[in-house]
Amino acid sequence: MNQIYQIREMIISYYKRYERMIFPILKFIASFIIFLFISKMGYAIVLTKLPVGILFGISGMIVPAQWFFLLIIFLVSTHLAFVSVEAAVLVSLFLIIIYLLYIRMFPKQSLLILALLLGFALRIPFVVPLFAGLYVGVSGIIPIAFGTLIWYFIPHIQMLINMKSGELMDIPNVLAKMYVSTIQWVTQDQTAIITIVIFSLAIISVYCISRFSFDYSWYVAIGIGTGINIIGFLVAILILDMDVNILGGLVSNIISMFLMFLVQFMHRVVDYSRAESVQFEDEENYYYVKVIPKIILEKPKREIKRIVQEPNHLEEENKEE
Amino acid sequence: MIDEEKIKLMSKLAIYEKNHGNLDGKINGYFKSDYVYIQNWWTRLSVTIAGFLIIGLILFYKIFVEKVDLFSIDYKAYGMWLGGIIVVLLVVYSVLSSYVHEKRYKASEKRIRKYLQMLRQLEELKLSSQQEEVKKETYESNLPNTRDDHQLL
Repeated sequence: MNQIYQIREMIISYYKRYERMIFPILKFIASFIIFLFISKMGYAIVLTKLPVGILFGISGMIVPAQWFFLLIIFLVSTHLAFVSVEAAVLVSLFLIIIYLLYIRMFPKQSLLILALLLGFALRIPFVVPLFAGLYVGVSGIIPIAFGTLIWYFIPHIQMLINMKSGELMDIPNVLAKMYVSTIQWVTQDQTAIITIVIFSLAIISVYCISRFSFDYSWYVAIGIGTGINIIGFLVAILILDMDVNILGGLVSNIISMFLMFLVQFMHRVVDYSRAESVQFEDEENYYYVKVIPKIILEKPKREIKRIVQEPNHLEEENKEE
Repeated sequence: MIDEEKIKLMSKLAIYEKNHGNLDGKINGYFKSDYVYIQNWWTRLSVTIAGFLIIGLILFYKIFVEKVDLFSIDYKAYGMWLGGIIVVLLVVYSVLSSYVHEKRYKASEKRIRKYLQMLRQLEELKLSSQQEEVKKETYESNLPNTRDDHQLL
């Protein structure tokens, strides 16, 4: 166990030393992965080129979260506009409504939407509700709900594209058809709604349990959250006839649980203030200072047992001799 | 000479300025009520736009899907209903926005208070080092210069 703590300390100190480089690189990679997933649509060939992807990644590094979301909406809408103007109008309308009603006010929490979409794409979506329950709280339900709706809406977009009109005059009628089809999807497809309910239950339970003060409550919360996810989806598959792969879901849940254990084990990296490099001056000097926060880690408690023979016993033993 | 304490304080101040300085400066440029008021208006504006988009979608559905006759619509009832949507959205979001922005203002105030406290500490440090220097100069000039005397003798 001691070795594991030592490894953790080593990783954290290494991370802190190079944090100024690692953090932007991670941001770039995440943005680039998002770009790759959007590029899979492949309708606007221009927007699938590598330079555009690099530019998108750099934008993800620099611009604030809410602007980044606008960039994503623009990219998705442009892709769709190349194949069907009606689908582009409808999808961008929905996305803009979500942006105006939620993302604009809570840009940082909205990153959970992207995280969930990435989680779904990488087949480990269960990690995001666990994360939200531990570090965001009950309010994390809203971005998770939006993320789930968007993910289950993606296959429906292909159906919308297939309805595209040939002539300009047909646009209102086609839009109406698409609109009806979307409403039918919302009312008939229960998978998204059930997923939202299960994720919400997991978030609430993880949040409540992690606030208890008993030892390892955070790890217990992750375990119970995973249990709720598994049981919820099993119930949904058996009773509500939800179309989910049981074995895949189980494996994904277990991987998510271990990932969250790892995140929780390393969470001091997230907790602590970041390494900084600052410049300032006073009347006499210019200063170029690199500040790296000290990390004091919890070390395993060592119990010291005192094994001392009482002096009376020693005397008795001597007498016997 | 480089003062270690002074550098620590100045580094903390510089980190604050780099990470929160601009935003806190903007927020603190207003009184709390003014800041919340202005932010609420921005929220109301975006919610109104979203409300109109939602109403547009509803009307589109009525006209192009349900094929409602535009001349036989009870405009008053529709207006009340659609207006109701916007009013509800505005009320809910005004409350939410007030709560969120008050919280942001308080957090910014807290950071600024800490920043000012560090500035005061820096001032005190500077003052005490100046006093030290003055003391040193005063006492050193009053000390008898015995070393030279001895050498002369």
